[in-house]
Amino acid sequence: MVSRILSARLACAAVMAISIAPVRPASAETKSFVVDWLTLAMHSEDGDCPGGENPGIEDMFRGIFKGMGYEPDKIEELMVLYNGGSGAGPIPGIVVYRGRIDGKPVNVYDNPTSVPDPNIHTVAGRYSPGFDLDNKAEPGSFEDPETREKGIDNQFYRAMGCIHSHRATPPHRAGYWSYAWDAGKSVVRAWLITVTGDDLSRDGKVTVTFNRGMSRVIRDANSQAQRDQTFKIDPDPRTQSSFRGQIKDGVVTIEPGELHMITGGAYLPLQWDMQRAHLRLKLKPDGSAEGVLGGYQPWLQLFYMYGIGGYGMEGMIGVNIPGTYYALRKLADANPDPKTGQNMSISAAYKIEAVPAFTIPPSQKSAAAGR
Amino acid sequence: MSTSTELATRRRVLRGMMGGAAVSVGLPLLDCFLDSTGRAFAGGAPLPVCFGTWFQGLGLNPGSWEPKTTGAGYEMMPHLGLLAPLKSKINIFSGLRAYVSGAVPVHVPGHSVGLGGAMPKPGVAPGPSLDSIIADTIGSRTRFRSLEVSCDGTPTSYSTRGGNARNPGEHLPIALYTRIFGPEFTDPNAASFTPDPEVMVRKSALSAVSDERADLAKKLGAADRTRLDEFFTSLRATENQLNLQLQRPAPLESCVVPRKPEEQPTGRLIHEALAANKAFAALLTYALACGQTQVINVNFAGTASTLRKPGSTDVYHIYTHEEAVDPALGYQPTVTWFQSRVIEALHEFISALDSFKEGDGTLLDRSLVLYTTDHGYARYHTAENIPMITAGSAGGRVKTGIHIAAPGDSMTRVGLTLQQALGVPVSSWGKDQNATSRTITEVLG
Amino acid sequence: MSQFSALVRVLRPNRRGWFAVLIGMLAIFAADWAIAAEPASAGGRAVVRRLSPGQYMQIVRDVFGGDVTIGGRFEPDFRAGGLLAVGAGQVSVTATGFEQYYGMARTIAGQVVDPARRDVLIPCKPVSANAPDDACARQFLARTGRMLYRRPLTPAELESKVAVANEAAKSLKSFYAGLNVGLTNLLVSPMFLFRQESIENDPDNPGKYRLDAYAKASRLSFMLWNAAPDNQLLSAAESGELNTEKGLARQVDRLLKSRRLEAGVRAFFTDMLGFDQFPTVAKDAAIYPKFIGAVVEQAQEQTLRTIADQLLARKSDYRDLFTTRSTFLTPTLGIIYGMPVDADMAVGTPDPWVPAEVPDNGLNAGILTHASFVALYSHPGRTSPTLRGKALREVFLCQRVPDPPGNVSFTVVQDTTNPAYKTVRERLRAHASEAMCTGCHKITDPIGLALDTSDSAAGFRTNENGAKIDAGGELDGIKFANAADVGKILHDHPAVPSCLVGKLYSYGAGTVASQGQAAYMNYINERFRANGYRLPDLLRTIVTSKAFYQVDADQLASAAGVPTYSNP
Repeated sequence: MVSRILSARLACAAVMAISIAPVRPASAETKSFVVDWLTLAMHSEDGDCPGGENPGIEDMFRGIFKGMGYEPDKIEELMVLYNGGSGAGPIPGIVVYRGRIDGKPVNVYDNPTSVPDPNIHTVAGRYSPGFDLDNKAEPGSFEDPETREKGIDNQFYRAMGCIHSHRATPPHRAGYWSYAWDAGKSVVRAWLITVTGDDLSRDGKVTVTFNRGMSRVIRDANSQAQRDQTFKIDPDPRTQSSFRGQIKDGVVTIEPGELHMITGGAYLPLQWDMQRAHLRLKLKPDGSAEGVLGGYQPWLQLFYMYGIGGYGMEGMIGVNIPGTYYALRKLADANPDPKTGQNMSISAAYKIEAVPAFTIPPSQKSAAAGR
Repeated sequence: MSTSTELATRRRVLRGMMGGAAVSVGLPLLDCFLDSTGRAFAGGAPLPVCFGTWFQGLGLNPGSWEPKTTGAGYEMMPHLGLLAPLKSKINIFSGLRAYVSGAVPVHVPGHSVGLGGAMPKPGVAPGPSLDSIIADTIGSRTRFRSLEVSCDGTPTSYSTRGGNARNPGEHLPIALYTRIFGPEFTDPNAASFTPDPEVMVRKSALSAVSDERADLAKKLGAADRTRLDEFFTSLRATENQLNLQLQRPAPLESCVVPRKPEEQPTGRLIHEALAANKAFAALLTYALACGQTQVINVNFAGTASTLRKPGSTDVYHIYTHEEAVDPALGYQPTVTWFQSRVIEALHEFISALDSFKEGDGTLLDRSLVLYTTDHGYARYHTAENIPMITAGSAGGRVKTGIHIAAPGDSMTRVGLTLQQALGVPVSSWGKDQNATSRTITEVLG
Repeated sequence: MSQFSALVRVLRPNRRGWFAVLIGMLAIFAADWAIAAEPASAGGRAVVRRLSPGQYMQIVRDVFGGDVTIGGRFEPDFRAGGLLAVGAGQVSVTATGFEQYYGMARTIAGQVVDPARRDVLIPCKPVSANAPDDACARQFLARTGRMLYRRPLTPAELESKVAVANEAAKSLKSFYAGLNVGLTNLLVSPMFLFRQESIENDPDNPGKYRLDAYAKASRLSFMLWNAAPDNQLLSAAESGELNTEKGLARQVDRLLKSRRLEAGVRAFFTDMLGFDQFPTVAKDAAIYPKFIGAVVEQAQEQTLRTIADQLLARKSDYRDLFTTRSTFLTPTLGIIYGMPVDADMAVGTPDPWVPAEVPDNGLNAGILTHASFVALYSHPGRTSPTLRGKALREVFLCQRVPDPPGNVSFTVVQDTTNPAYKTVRERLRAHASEAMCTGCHKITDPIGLALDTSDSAAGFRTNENGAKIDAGGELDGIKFANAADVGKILHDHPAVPSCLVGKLYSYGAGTVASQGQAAYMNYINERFRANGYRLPDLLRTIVTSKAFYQVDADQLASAAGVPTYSNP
């Protein structure tokens, strides 16, 4: 079956291609989208970081050296080296092996608790796009700037939002995330969203599926994802999720459920296992779709995304990796470990921007290729 | 085959060459055409053509530099405002990209594809860079095949003769001065000249083709005979080019030895880089004017530029990742400030060539300088819409004052076009998805 | 033969019956003869044609191998009589063009004598690598020269090249460097760069002329393969086989059966459809973001694949090109047309091609609605019914549409944002109401407007600026409602097949057929019709006809050196 967005400008496009049976159940309408952008939902404002923004890279390094007990003279000597050459010198070695276990240096990215918690600054602002995942408008939760809903849970943003490289205010996309997604778009297979209902121009019940395509997006002349690209669906069950939902006033929402996806590559989380996934997706008149996806994710999956970045993540993006580890652990707000009581999941929300696409279920041949 | 048959065959071939009216008047020798071929042969050998690259990492903000209209007569965007007075000598190429073929496209696309024709592949040595290919065609008889400089205190360069080794960039102006104008410098106008024996052979061989003309012309009708004459006139133009290579080159009347530059600190502070760029611009101008080289490569600062603003804690590259977009301005303010300094430096360099007068024109007029960079939008480190700008017409081989928008095309189109304009015999360039055989005909003279 | 068996069955022949069968057969042959007889023709012209870039590259590949780098830039071709192939007979070589040919010749010759290739491409070894060896040079230059000049070199020509190689080898102290220079000379000779057609007395038509056997071999080969004659064909010319009816038929059979026929057919349609204009096609990224560089190449390939599949693989009726919904797409072209494409894409590999059927929705008119037509004949930011209508008439109907006068204001047509004129039909109506414009726009616009459901980047649409597109109109007296109807009208339009016949003849002969060839052209047209408009049959009819190789004596009368003796 071929599904596509029936663009308003071409209602008569009852199209087909050889080897694709033109099945379109008379009672159902389907719109498929490919995700052009998926970025951390955030809403930076002046003064939303009570301790101030986290230090820039050089100050972060100075702080690290100070914490390791270097004398001020030695620190400045190191910084001159850092600024004088290609940015390397002895610094990477010192920074990477600043962890101590039994007094011996260890790789801090593999052992984030081998240094004390640097207590990176976190967000205390009022707004964040997202969802009230726990149905508790507890104090300290955010307010969605668009829906005005209170009790928004987006602790992932809270953890990362005072890092300079991440900060952004809508309509701008989250700093580092937009960089990472754009780089990833050239490398990883596409995320697909398909909405099926009796008549998507009216309010009613829908089914929403998330899938991964077998190919990457082709970019258009403006570097955005091409509209109307055809994607074969990856048969890997770890990339397939389905939700019951509804459409109301052109906005699709889902009944909370589990969302699984594998991104695999570049700077993005390798794996997505989201619980109590919520979606709010506006189907726009020009055929595109925009909205917010939220839910609880294992915070370790998110930490790995940064941890894998290692020295580059610290030295170029300004993310203090052990600091991020501690912040995510402290701010995790779901799935307590039965033994330790430590929450293992963290609430998160992402902005989604998608354009119309065709999808084709996996053939036997491509099913084999997908493994 | 007997000789008589062969002769008969030959007569048959010749006689059949055409229908049309007979013209029995012998054509004059075609020397009179030589001055009208568009290449200034009249006053002896033309001054040689020069090529340069000028590189700076981290791109330009999309929307800030691409002219609103395409073709000739475009308006320079405010971000490139400094270049506006030179607009008639500048081409802007927008929308070009590097196809990254599944590689993570960070800090490699612009110079790998724009200057090298291909994305790096593990285990595959890159081919020669654009400047080396061009140097082999235009600069093989100069003292330096090419000269590389780097303004950021490092020996960074993107010029390679193939393989992973890069021609190192000189980062001290004073060292460059000594290299060019030190004890080994000889006045080009006083140096002895030995004609290349291969050129002599080729010239005489080509004359043998001209000998076919008389036989052919006898059997042609008027229209075809005119075409044949045009062909041999064109052949004579090439013959004349070879002939010119056999003569002592034109005197480089503007060549003087420049003043020795002051010692100056070099490093990654932006004002140090600007000063180095200025000093290099002056030295390279004289190096070109004195025929020491015909190909130059300037690295203002490499990919992932580590230039710094005095007093700031972060380098330029970090700002592209770290700095938030100013909601009121719509761009990253510090990143954009750095871009303006880059444009300043590019302007300084081009102006140095253009203010160097040679006869009726300037050194820039017989040169072509290509600016490019590693990324389009630095904030995302995109491989799309990577700016490419050329200045100079390479002695009229490239039309100027034109904006070409080629969204989605590989940057290699510019490289191919420049190679062809500068006489490199090549019909396609680049590898994999970056391979192209489409020249940008709009700018070819 | 099926007519014959039917006759046999009906008559249940006995002795008298056999006689009747015989009479019947004669009647059939006579009827066939009425169509088959080629009428006398005035003959065409012998033409001096510059090799096209495609022909140059093909010859180099054929002679020196597919891995030889050619390099260089060819100067633009010139279009005359609707074809570059005709323009090739009217151009020379500019100074820049020669410089490029010379560069290419050096690049090619350098590779041929390179140690990596010389043992394969040079049939002998010199006595010494550091000195001339005339015998070996002669052997190589004679063999290679024959392929490049498409005839044996004359003794004088050969000796001149050998002398050049000798002198160069002496000066440079290298046999191979000398051979390099000798080969370079062959490659920049006008004998190689121009196809020159020698003529001789026509023994079948005393007092008249025909191409000699080598020129005949070239016409045949360039027509069917877009390549120089291969060794077999040159040998057939040499032995005289090509001048016999049987011998010609044998070679034509061989060429038509070869896979290389596709290259020839592609070259012809690339020329006829004006694909040389594609390098400057660009679309405004703000309006047509889908149109990326890859589309330019793939649009042409889509149409050429469709043509090769329809006309060669399926042997379909030529006219079906205007109605067929079968084509080939890549994922990128699918995006352009808004169609799903079921193809497996792999990272880092070229876009895959898959067969596809376009929908039966009234918007598709065979190759007329391919991007290779609608995007080529459009402006960067808007469609042009006028350009499309003009191209349709000129390319497919061989009708000439005059260019617009120089002093016309196009403001109304260009402004696509004027709320008073939402569709291009409305804008054109406002523009063409000016008296000086009406005449031509009446010829071009109605059919062009039918194609307006394809936007400038070939995407299908049913409205423009919110207003429904009216694609209806009239073509030569027949009403139509949409693009698909126009395809059907063209399918049955009598000018469509005769236009192809005319262009194919001109393409092969290098000139447009003259008045004196009218009966001959009628004959070709009639054969084309009788053969169900199959292209391979049409090609066979043309290249086996006598007139294709005859040269009009009138055009020779005043020429210098009219031959007065017959072929040796």
